[in-house]
Amino acid sequence: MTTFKANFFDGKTAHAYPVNVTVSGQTLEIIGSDISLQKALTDIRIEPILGKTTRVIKLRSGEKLESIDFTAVAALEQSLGANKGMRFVHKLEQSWRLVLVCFVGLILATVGFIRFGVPWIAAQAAAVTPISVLKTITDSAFKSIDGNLLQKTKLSATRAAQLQSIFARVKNRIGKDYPYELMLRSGAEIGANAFALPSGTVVMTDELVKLAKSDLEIEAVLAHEVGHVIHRHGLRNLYQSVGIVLLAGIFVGDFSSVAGLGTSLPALLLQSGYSQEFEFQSDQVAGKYLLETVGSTKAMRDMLENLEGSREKSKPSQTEKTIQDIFRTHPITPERIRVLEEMERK
Amino acid sequence: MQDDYVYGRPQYEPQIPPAPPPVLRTQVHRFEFTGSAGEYFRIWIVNVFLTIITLGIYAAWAKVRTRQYFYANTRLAEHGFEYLGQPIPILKGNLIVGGLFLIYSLVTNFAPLWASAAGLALAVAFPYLIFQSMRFLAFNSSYRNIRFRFHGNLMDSYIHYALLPLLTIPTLGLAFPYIAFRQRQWVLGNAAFGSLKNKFLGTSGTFYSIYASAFGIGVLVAIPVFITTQGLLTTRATSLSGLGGISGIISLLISIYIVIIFGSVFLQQFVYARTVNYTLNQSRAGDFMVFNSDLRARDIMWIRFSNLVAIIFSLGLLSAWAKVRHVKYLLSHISITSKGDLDSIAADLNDQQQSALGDAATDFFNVDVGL
Ligand SMILES: [Zn+2]
Repeated sequence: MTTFKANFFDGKTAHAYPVNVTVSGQTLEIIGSDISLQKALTDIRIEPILGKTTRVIKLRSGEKLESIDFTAVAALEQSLGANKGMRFVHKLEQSWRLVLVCFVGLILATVGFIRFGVPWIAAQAAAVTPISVLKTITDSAFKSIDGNLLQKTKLSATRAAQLQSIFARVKNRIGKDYPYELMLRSGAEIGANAFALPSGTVVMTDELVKLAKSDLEIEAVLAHEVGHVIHRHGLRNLYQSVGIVLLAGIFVGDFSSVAGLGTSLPALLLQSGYSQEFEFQSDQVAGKYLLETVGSTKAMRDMLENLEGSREKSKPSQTEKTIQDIFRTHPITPERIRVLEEMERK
Repeated sequence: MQDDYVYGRPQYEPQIPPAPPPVLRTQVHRFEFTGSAGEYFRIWIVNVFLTIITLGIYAAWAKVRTRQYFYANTRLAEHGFEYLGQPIPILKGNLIVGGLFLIYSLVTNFAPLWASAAGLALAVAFPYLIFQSMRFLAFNSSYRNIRFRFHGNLMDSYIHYALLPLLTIPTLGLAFPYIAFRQRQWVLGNAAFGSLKNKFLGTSGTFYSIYASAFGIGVLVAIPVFITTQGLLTTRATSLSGLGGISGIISLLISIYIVIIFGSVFLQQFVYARTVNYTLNQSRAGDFMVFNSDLRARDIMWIRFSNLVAIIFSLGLLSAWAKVRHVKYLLSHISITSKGDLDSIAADLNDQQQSALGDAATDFFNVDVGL
């Protein structure tokens, strides 16, 4: 049997009645100068402890008790087995050492989540996204660059037709069910480049066509881009960015300002480039395609070297970072060439 | 004690005049914030940690805990406030709003044609969400076990948050103080503590003078800044020699930009302090209670500015400290004067339907609803 002091509020007026609360057996007795009440312990709810704030006990009938006798209320709480989870939370909150542990855990969890969690969720979400959505995303993204970053192709109609038939060959062999389209464009600003949008729209610049020393090299590039499409790399990238924006929202606690960051997502889709993992995966697709059709990955390797060479040339000074570099989605060339060589040896 | 002494006097003393009828004595009660920055910092870190590792689910509990911490430590006449919101309804609200937000951001990004439809839907829903959130917030705030209430209706919410804002267009923004006034009037005029309804007596004239002074201060500060930068720019331009000159101009432009940002923060705080003072001082709870607020604009500007600097240089870690400091200042400058004890205020026992949806939505979009 324990007794503690409290203030009693009847919920009808703002009057505070000083009372003594006694817990005996299964009942709670509230005794004050004008108050005498008995309540079953099943009819009370103890609000979770929070810092050094007054403890609050609610009665089912609408009244409320407030007490600063922390020991007594904690004992009552314990005997009722109430608020186990929140008592643990309170324990964390009370200790600077545990808070430090939480802080470290928070940083590790965030890094881990960005590194593994977000990509995994993004991959799952990308896998179940219907093609019609991919189509909408692609159209909107393509519209935003066609006509300004990309200009009409200067290739002859015959050349264009040849390239289209190469692309048809690639997509029929490995393309799966996507609404493919090869867009031949002159990429004045972005130079020799090729990239794939999520639903299968592949953009290839005249500059890249001219850079290739054979049509097989172009075929290799197209196979690589189809690799990005069938593995849904574009969409996964996009979902990852959305995930990180939302994560930032949790930290900042203000989604509206963070959402502002996210309004340029199609731009993000075009600019961010793929992670190395995605590039290797698409190289696998292209390498496999080449091995099956011509028995060597040499065309892809040569093309990578061509691109690397043109990049060196087009870079007049190291300090000027042009849009070209942002669009280059194919870094780490020597490593990629090595992996392709290894593929062939196997 | 004093009464005993009076009645205990010998009879032959001159008769004291009969006691006046029991006039309720005016009492002044100051608000006070008893929380501490260290304690709130720990609660905050644990909140963020648990929110992250539960993939956002704990956010509802975190919100309840944060609000309750600030409520319980807000004390008036020896008692604290209480936040009554429950995590589960808030979790549901968060999930719905989070889903809608995801759809909205995907639509605005990928289907520009649909984006205007989505924006329109949001604009149509907005006053409803404000209305819901006011009711939710009032109903879930209590003091001495008496709930607050919000008596505004949905129709008026549409008038104040959808129709009136349209006035800014034909008036080229000149109606803005009037709209701000009408919104405050609606919010404060419909607030109640239990059965004690609040009245708001303010007029739009004062709002105009507040915004006009803010504008005047802005211009007074902007002119010298403009002249000096203009001068610097022209001297730079004449001595322009290659890249050095250009980068100088760029850094100058960046510093002007920073000055503008800080300047608008200052002006915002000025308007904030003045409107809070005015709206609270013009509020009467029944004939029983008067609010007094004497926030000083320059104090608030300083607190806001130094908080901003502290948060930036601590990479956000000092934001808990900054929040506590801000609230402490605000509450220490607000008080109420009542006729007699607060004890006699009675509850309003009518039930109100509540949904946490509006609360989650306004929270999500960080909408400022009134005070
Ligand atoms: Zn690639």
